Amino acid sequence: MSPLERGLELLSLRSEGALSPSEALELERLRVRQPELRRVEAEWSRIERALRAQVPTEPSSWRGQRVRRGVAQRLPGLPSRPPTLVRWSLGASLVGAGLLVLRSLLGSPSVLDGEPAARLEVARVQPAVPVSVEVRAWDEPERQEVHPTAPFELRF
Amino acid sequence: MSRALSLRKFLGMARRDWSAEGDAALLRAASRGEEAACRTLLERHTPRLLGLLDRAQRDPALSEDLAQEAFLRALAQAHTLREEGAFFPWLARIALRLAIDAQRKRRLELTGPVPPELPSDRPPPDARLAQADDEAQVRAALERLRPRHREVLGLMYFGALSVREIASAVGRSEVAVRKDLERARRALRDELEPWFAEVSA
Repeated sequence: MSPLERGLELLSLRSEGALSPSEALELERLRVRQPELRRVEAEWSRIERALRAQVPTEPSSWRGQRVRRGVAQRLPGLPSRPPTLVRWSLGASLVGAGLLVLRSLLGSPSVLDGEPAARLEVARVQPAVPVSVEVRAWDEPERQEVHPTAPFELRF
Repeated sequence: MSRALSLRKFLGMARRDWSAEGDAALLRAASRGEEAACRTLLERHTPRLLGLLDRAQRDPALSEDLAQEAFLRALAQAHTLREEGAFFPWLARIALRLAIDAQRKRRLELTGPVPPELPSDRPPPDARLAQADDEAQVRAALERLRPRHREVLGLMYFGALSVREIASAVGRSEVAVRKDLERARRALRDELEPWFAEVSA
């Protein structure tokens, strides 16, 4: 291998972030002795700068949000658009369970962009009484069910 | 006595914190329609993917479209990802191919020939234009390379992937990828040789 070829190999290793300290020293020596290597190195620096150049853009969080929304709209199995209102229904045996109060139901929850802000408040519960709860959510304008859960049980 | 439960806690059986999960698990769950897993995966990788696409082609709006498409294709092919930790290189390869296709289509849609280079008889008025000239020349040369060479260079410089990640993405050994990179660099420099000769004259 000629000194120039070795120099090119070392430049490649440097581009890949894999140049050892001893190889860096070797490259330095070759650079002094090989004007051709210096020329190639200067050309490569210019090429690499061009390849790594950034495009000025909006903040990545906005762009990321648009990408997430786009994927959500196009992905089968996910809602076609964020629900505007979610309602919860309790289809359940509430016998002896006291009073369940649901309130603060949901401004504009989005399945991909955040959890719904609803809270469940439970008042006057009787201990150790199971309550079967089924939760369903609808996209309000189309009355389309968006993410039902299986019935599950709460025990206070 | 009153108790307040957050809805997230209330729905603990249906919702789950995915942030500690690996990419492969997230991908599998997202491909089954699990929104939270999909969101976590997107949040984790979208900024880096957009960076790659912005460098691969210069239209930020198109980058967002291509990022969506790449994620959807990844989700559709989730069963083919075997190796944990190999998700981003795999996604980057899908995205890079989409970017190359988009550029090809765009060229075909243009009427008239595409100027291969900026006019060279005018001196660039400032450094920014000089940089733009460099970018135009390098991109034009890159498009003339063999697809295999263009791919490894794109993954390395646009996606900032390591040799190991590129090897994982393209399914070749690290040694083979290093050889490809070396050949690709030479080919690119050869393509740019006349331009370098012109600007240094």
